[in-house]
Amino acid sequence: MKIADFARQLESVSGGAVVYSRVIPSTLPQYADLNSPLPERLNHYLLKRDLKLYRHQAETYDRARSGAHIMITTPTASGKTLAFNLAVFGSLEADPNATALYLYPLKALTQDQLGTLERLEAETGINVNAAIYDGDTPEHQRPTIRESSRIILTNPYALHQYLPWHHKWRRFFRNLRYVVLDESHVYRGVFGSNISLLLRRLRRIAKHYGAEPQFILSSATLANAEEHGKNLTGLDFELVDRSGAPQGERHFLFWNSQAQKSRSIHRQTSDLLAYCVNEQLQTLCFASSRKLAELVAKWAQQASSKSKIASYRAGYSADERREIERNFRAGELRGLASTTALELGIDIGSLDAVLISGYPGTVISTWQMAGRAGRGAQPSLITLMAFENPLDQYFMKHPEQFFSRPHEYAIVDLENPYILLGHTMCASAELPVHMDRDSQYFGVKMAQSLRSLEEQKLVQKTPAGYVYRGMARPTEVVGLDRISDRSIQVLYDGQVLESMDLRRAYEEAHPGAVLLHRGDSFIIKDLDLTAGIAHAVKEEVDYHTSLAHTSDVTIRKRYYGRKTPLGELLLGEVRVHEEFGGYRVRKGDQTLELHGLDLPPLDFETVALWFTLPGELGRQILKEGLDWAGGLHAAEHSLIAITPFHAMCDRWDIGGLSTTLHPDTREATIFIYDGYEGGIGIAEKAYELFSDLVETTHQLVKDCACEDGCPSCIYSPKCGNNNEPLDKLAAVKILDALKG
Amino acid sequence: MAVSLDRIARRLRERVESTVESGLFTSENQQPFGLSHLSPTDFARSMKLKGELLLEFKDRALAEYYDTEERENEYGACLKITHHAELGIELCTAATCIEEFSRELKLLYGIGPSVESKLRTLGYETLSDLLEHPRWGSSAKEMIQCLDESNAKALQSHIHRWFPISHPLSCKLISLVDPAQIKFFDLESLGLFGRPILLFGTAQITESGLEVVQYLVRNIMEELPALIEIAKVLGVEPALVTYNGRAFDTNLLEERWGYYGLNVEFDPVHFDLLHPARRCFRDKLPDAKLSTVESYYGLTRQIDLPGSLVPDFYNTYLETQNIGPLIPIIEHNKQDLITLAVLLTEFSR
Repeated sequence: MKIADFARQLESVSGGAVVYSRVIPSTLPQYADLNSPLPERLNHYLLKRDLKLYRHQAETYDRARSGAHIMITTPTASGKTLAFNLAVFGSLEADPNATALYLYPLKALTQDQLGTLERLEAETGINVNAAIYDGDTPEHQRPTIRESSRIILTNPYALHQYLPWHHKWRRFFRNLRYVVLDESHVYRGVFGSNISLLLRRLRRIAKHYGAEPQFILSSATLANAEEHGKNLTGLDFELVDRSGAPQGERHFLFWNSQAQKSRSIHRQTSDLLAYCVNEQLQTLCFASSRKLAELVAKWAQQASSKSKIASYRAGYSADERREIERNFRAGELRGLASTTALELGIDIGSLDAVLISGYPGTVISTWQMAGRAGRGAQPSLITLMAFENPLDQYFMKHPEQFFSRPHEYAIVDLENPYILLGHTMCASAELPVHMDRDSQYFGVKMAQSLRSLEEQKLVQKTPAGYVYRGMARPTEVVGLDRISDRSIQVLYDGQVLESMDLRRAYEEAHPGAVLLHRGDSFIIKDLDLTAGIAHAVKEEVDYHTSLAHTSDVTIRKRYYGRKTPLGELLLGEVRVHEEFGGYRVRKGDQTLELHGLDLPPLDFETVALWFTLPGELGRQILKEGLDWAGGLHAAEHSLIAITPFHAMCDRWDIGGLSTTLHPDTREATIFIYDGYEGGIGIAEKAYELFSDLVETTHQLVKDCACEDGCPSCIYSPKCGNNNEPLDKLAAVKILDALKG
Repeated sequence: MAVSLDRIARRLRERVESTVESGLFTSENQQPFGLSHLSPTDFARSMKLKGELLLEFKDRALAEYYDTEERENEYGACLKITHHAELGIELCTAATCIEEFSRELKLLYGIGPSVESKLRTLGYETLSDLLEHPRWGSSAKEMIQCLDESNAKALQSHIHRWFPISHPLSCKLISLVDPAQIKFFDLESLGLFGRPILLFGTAQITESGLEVVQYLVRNIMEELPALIEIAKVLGVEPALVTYNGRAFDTNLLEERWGYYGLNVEFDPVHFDLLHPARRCFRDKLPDAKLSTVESYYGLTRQIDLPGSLVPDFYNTYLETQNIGPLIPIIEHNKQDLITLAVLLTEFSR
């Protein structure tokens, strides 16, 4: 069946669930000739493969060869990889010593890219000895790779650990011509700030060996792609954003799960996945959690016995994932339910249809997922399925809003003193830090940073520069993100079934939990937190489990405070405390039983700002028939939504809490805290800029054209309470009063 | 209000320190046979020792106790300390070494235990017997040439290619080396890598025993000049004798040269005695720490400082400028070098 017919048919059988459909017209390929001719062997490769370069590929090649740093933002599957590989191979052919470093945010992506590079290497005969060098690289292969590979693929976490060993990489750094950073949109917020300083450390070391590599970045579409490139690397970029790749017609449907009240969104997702697969469409479904990916695949498989449907997520072994990817590419697997693990460019081929079960929280992610659909010029289907929450529902009511919404900004903070100080310390263990030579990398405050580090006896000033003298390896102390080192291994039959971080183990591997793994269900018998081991037994059950938890914030220490028109604004240390009282046994969408659980609470200490609001204001708001709690909650959400623009972070870097009565302040209080153990400077900055923050937030909510809230003002994509309760009008009153 | 850099730096230091501590007390953890960690009792004993040393050596200078000399070069200065140790060092003779080598047919590519025994039944006992052999003749010739040239480095790489790194033949190669090239070598540093070296210890064989020369970094800024001095002393192609030097000492040395951007040519033939020691003492001793191995030979240390506490003692010296905590570091390093000479005598016999 044709996609257009299928889309129409789906609309008619959906029982009103398809609330909107839009056809994004196809585009024709646009080719271009190169200004500078390709080297013979690359040219031959294109001819043999019958490849003509699209406009953006030619543009990338030409500009890269002219020496510019390039940021490519053309869509998924537009041939970005070939574009930068041609430029790199061109340079590596011209200079037999030249090297290139490819950085990927995930190990799975390096695996994928290695295959591509090896094929290109074999077919062009240009010898680059491409190799992966990361934590999985066997010790005995490492010296050979360092000494002879000309393209090395790795990830930022590994690079962070290897930079101090630069003398062993002398040959590689001395000849470093290109650094390729794929999927660079993921480097935003605190993670992005860390990466930008990691890249400055890399540039400083390359410079030490006489190299100034060119950077090629690829990214999903961003509101500020060029700026993002500059922030990440400190260099000026040229943008290549007009794709010349053809795109088939895309049918975009909005599916509101609320139309079928009797069936949960997850059931509807699996129904739809099975339906697409049964109609011969190879379909990828994005589910909103690991458990849902498992459940949706399992249910869809039950409803579609003829075709194979599987699940895909982090936590599977590399071999398991490779196998699934291979089978999907080959078309043996007809349906796949995945977490966001497949949002980035792992090669699974192109598909007929993509289902997105629940709005993923950003426009960037939604389009990245949608970009998986479409084989060349073939038409394809994308369905965005809405959950019950107000954010998802908003798009169902205002679908045009979705298409006209700008892509998000990628925000990177180059002045965050926590991050700067940490990386300056790392740098001082790599090469002595020179006051004048190195301030171009570590900012105008570098001199002050070094003095503070010297005061703490972490570095010492010497004629050669500032030398690290602390007691531990800096790269062990300074992390790039929040991922905790503590991991729990789930064992089944003496073998590791999967490993997961501690927080996830609480969620999925507590005693009694049903852990789904590739469609099989396992029951967790015990969880030993000290040993980091959980034991599972295989048992086919028709129920699943979900953890019940509550969290609160307690004030530990007040740094300083000031008056606001309504009460007090404070900055200090808080403890975020999570309790895990038990878990629910659920069948389908129904809760069957509740079980108690004996897990120690999880605490983390961080820095927060908080402000109090007088009970009088609450009484006034209630008198006007508005919701006091909903107003506080909405004000908290909107403040958090605006904070990234003032405090240079990502929304996911911060957390918040609002309450009509907090035990420590004995008043209505709103907290905004850093999502990093020990704090990372965001609340601190928001505290300084608090009146600007309130001003902008007030304006945003007041001027938002929506009636009672929308994703642009008070809906949060990461709310733990499903965006309830929320009261926009009350929030405007609170913010107005706070502004004074 | 400005964010306080000092507060953030203090927090960083706390994290640095807690990272160290967690690495320090892991004695309960199962360590592989070899180097192991410090126990809380040893820690307490060492802290007491440090207190006593601070009292004993208050306002004293190293020159009062050691033969010291100020060394200066274009990058600054450091302190050279010289000791002489009387010791009988006896290495096997070159003839014995060559003899044993020429009987080891398995060194040739393609000859395993079964081929070897077959060859022996056919009357091929030595490399020279194989010279006319159609299959092994040319590689036998190559090996004999290495022996004739006393090319210890090439011979060692042949051994390491086919045998475990701990193979007894490896140590015997030392007899082919010019004795002036033999450098016992041991470093004391602030950490496993990425941190400064504070004492460079090296020793050479003399008529009466051993001359131990140490370069002390009295202040972090003396590390660079000391790195230059040690490069001169070791030379380009020394025969280095170390204990775990493959994994640690040479790695750190080259890392620090690289850290300061020094381009040092360094291509040693390396005799790392940790490997034969592990092989030799696997069933006799609980671990292969140098101090444990020493006790097997009846050598005892007057004051012993566990290696993992060297940074702590050194930092106390930096803070107080009292030489007390340096004394056990200097002695520890010297003793390590002497023990190395004893072990070399044992293993090359």
